Amino acid sequence: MMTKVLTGLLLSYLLLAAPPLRAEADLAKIRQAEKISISLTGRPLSAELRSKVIKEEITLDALADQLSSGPEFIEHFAQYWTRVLGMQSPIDMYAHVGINTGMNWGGIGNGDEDRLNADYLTKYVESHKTGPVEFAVAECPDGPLLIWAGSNNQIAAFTKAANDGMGYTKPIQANTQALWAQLLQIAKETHATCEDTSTVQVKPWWDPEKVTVHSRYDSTASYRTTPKLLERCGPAMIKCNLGNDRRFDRFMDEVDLDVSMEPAYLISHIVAENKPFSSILTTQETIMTGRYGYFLGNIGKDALKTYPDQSIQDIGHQIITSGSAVDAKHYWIKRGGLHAGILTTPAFQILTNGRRAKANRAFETFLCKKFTVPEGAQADPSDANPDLTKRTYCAYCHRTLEPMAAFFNKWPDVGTTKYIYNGNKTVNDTGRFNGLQGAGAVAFGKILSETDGFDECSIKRAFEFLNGRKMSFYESENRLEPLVTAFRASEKNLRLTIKAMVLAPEFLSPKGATP
Amino acid sequence: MMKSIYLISVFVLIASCSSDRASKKGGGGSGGDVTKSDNPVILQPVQGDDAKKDDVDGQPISLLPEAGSHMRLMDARGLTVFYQNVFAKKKFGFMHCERNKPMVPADCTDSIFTRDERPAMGSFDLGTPRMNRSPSNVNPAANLTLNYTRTLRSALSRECNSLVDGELANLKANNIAANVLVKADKPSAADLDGFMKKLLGLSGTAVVLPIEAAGYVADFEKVKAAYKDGNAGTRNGFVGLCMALSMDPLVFIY
Repeated sequence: MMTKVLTGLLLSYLLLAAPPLRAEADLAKIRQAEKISISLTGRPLSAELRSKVIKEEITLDALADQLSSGPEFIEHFAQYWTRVLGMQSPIDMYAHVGINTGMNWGGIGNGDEDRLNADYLTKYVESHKTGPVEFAVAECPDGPLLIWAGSNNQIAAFTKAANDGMGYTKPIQANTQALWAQLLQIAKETHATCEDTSTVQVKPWWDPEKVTVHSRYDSTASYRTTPKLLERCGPAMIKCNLGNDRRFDRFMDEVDLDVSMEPAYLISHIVAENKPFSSILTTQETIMTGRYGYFLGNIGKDALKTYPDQSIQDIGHQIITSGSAVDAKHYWIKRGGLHAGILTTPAFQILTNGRRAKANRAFETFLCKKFTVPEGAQADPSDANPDLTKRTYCAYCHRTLEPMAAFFNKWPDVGTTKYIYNGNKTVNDTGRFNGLQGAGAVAFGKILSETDGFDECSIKRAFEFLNGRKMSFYESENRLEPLVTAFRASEKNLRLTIKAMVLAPEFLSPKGATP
Repeated sequence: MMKSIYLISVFVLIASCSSDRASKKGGGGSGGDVTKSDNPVILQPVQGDDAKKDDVDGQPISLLPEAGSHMRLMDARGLTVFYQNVFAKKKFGFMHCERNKPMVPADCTDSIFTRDERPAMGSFDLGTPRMNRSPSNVNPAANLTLNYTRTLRSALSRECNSLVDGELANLKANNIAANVLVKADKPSAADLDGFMKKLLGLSGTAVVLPIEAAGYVADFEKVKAAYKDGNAGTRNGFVGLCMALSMDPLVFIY
């Protein structure tokens, strides 16, 4: 009896002391977790999350919840939306903003021109002996070398003029030889060769940590330049840029990408942060990367002149006033009362050529519809009515499109794809859509986002994002309505809808998916 | 004989992707199933190695998940996350940068695919035109299908050749601790299972992977036997195994 009691006690102890036997997820469960991860973030599970899934320490629901609010979801969802918006190549901010790339050697010719008299050359020397210059990058074996573009070519001509008194084909003008000598000095001070040992090391503002302009310099810490150029461009070359040698202008490439992604980042953050999805067309805020803000605070200052109100509310934000050129983090930025979600971002405006195009792009993207004429409708060549809302055939679409386009009357019409807001109060931007009237993109965004079609389209876009295809007829008929109902009940929280979609049995266990 | 291994991998791929849906018999007509024309070419549907229940030769090969399916092909970004479990980055990055260094370092280190291959692998990239990375989004691939698998095979070919050469050298030097595929001069089913688990991030688990490892081992022997040069047979056998396993639908369909 005693033995049995002791045995019982011992067994009880062993059972209590032993580590709990932990179940391990089977392949089907792991594959479902991978599917959730890849669908939401474009990437398989991280090692840490996979380990949790295998040990069954995280449910699929919790996994979807975590992933759908993370930075990888934001990037992946933004890529999808950038494609939906029709962005095919990055916006070139050089084409839209007057960026000063520095002084060049223009106006000096070859030494033969009549204008190159003492008076002209005196002024030329004065204007060219100080100040920022146009850079060229010499690809030296040990790292990039920053020089004044064109100095090398000028040195030969200036030497001939300064030493021999000769221009290209004839003697230089009287009393100019000393001035040519000064120009020669300026050119020599701003040029160097790869072998030149008088250069100095510099970490320019666009590459404060290490050289990133070519992978061959992956382990190079700094650039080289001449002492004179460092003096003229200031500490960290702050007054100069690579706008003249755009092959190496990585900073502006990144800015262009950030500007192009702005509308999609705004959409992604609204979803990931549980904000009402309708605010993608109404919010006065936007998302900027740190380097986008740095651009607006430095070489892109002029860009703000064409914004509504010629500035933004958050002009004093630290990413603009004291940010970093390599800060890729995302920030919420307040713009102002004339802004309406993605509709007033530079990317959306530049992407759409003309007011009708802006209205049509918004209509197609956020209502999932296209303007079409009824089947069998015929154009009438004899009808030349300039009012497209009345012309035969054209009227089918334009009687809706024209009043929609009017919301953008303060934005450029066809032929100008720049980001320019016309603040003239005499311009009437009252538009009409869906039986409602209002002024400006702000009103259009509000009307559009409150239509039933917007809610349905939002669900369809979420489905496309997750499945890589449009909803089938069967799915539209059977699954759309309950999803829309749930979407509205959640105050248009699209993240919850996306979560529900990835956790649906037909999504997690599609036909033929059993390993 | 490399073709044999490739064919085997294609077979595994197709067998895994084909639907269970009952399909119409191919070949057209009935009975003799002969296609006639002025200059007749006689086509006869036959049962082949790739036939399985409800699936016969003569049907067009489709690598797309079934219409209306919730399954998709993983894009270049996602695939690289899996592949870097077995294809280690070299000093210069992945193998496509062995000879050419692009301007943007990430092109070498972030993807096993070249920037030209990525659109065919379903990736969307706004690129940077000034830095010679012009985007290829003007006509994005409407469906991925054959270009996808061709491109995938091309990229895996680079990586697998490099992997096998490196690991065979390690084997010769009796230093196989870091090898992921070549554990001996011929593979065992356990080796292949281990490779596949490493690829999928499942090392150390008891998860059973349906990869028919024993069949691959037998196929390796056939490939090796077909070569007079045993070293070449071993090498090509391992390269074929590497590619076949790396192209398993478990990796790229989700």
